[in-house]
Amino acid sequence: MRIGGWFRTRSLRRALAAAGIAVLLAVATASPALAHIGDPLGGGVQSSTLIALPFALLAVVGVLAAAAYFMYTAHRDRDLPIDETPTEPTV
Amino acid sequence: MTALTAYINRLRGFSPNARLLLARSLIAPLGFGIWGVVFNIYLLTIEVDGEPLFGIDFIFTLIAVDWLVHGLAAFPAGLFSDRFGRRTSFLFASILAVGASLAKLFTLDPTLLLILAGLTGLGSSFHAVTSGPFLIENCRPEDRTHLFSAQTTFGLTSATFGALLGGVLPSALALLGGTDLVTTAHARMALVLAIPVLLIGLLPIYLIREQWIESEAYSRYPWYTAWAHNLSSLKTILKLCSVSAIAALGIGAIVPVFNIYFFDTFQIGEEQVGYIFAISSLATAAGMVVAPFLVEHLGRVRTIVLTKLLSVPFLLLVALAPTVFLAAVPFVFRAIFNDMGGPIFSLFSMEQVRPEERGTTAGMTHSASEFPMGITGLVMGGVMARSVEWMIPFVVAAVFTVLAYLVFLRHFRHAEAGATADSPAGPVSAKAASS
Repeated sequence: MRIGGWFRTRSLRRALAAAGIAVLLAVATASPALAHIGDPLGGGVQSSTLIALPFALLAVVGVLAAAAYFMYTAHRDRDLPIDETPTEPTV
Repeated sequence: MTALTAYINRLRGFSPNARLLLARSLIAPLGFGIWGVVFNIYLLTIEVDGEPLFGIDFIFTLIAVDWLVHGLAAFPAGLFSDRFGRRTSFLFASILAVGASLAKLFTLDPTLLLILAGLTGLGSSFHAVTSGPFLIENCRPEDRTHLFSAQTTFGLTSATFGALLGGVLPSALALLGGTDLVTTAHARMALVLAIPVLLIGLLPIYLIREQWIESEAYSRYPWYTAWAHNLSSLKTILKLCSVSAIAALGIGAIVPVFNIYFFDTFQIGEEQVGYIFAISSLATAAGMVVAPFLVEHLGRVRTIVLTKLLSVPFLLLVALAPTVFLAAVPFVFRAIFNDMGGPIFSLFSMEQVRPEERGTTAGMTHSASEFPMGITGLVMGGVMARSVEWMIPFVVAAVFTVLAYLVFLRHFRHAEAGATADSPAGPVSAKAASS
C-alpha cells in the first residue's frame, strides 16, 4: 500500500486520535509542573505544591482504579483459556 | 466507535494472566516511582549533630549499585525463569524488591543500605527478564504487539505519576504541619504512605495462575549444565546480543548524562530538567500506542529499524539546539521514536527462539546491553573531563545507534515470516493460562 493510501486508513486515524487524546491528557497532567516553572501564584514551594498535589493524587487514583479493573476482570475470566478470552478485535 | 474505545476493547481482550501483569505494571511503578523520589529526599534530610549524614554522592553510589547488580543478575535471572517458571520468578523478584525497599527504612548504616540497594537491583532484574517471556506466553499471536506496547506504556505513565506525587508529597506533608521546610519526619511519613501501594503491587503477581513444566534438559542434566543443553538457538541469541551490545554503546555515551547536558548547556534548574523528562516520558507512553499499528503495516523488523533510525536526527538536533526549548522538543521526539521500538524488539527477540529458552535469551540480551553501556559511560567520562565538548557523546551515540540497527536489519531482514510462524505459547504457559 502506498504511504498516501495508508494515511487514509481508519486504523491509523484511530491510532492517531488515541495518541492525540493521550498526549492531551499527558499535557494536562504535566501542566501543574509547567506552571511551577513560572510560579504564577508567586508563593514559592507552597503555591506549586498546592497546584500540583490534586493533579498528582487524581492521576494516582486513576492508575489504581485502572489496575483494580484489570484485576477484577482477570479474576472474573480466570477459567477462560487464551483463545476464548472475550475480545472485540476492532483494528 | 471511537479510537479510545477500540483500544480499550483490545486491552480487555487480553488473557487473564496478561491483564494481571498489566495491573502490576500500573501499581508497582507507581509505588517505586513515589519511593524512588522520596527515599532520596529522606536520605538528604537526615542530619546528625546539625550535619547531613548522606551527601548526593552517596545517592549516586546507591543508584550505581542497584544498576550494577541489575546487569550482573540478568543472565542468571533468565536461567532461573526458564528453570522454575515465570510466576515463581515474578514472586521472588517482587517480594525481594519490595522487602529490600522497606528494609531501607529501618537502617542508616551505609553498608547495609548499599546491600539493600543491590537486592532491589536483583529483584528488578529478575522481573525485567521474566516479563517478555511471560507476556508472549500469555496472549494470542495477534495481540502480542499491543500487549508489549501496552505494558511499557502503562509502566512509563505510572512511574511518571508516581514520581510526580513523590515530588510533592513531602512538601504537602510539611505544609500540613505548618512549615515550608521538608524535614526527615515529613519524608519518612511520605514513605510510610507509599508502603500500601508497594504491597498492593504484589497482589496481581500472587493471582497469576501457572503450571510450570520444566524443559527436558533440566530433568536430564544437572542444573549447572542443563542451561547449556537447553540452548538450541545460540546463533540467533548471539545475533540479538550483538545488536543490543552495539546499541548500548550508543546509549551509554549520552543517555545517562542527558540531564547534565541540560544543566550545563542551558544553565536551567533541576526542576525544569525534571519536567522536561516527565513530559518526555508521558509523550513516549502516548507514542507507544501507535507502535502496534506501525507493525501491522510495516512488520516488526522494519518498524524497529525505522523508529530507531528516526530517533537519530532528533538526537543530533538536541546537541545543535541554541535554546532550551529548541533542545527539549527534539529530545521528546527522540524519546518517542527510540522507545517506540523497544517493546517491539523485546517481542521480536522472544519470537526468534524456542519457548523454553526465552528467559535465557532475555537475560543474555539484557546483560549484553548493560556492560557496553558502562564501558562507553566510562570512556565518555574521561573524554568529557579533558574537554567539555558535548557534540562528541551525541555523535558517538548516533553512530552506534545507526550501526546497531543496520546490523539488525542485515541479520533479521528475512526473519519476519519466521517470527509470525512461531508457536503462540510456550510448552507450559498455554496450559497455564487455560488451567
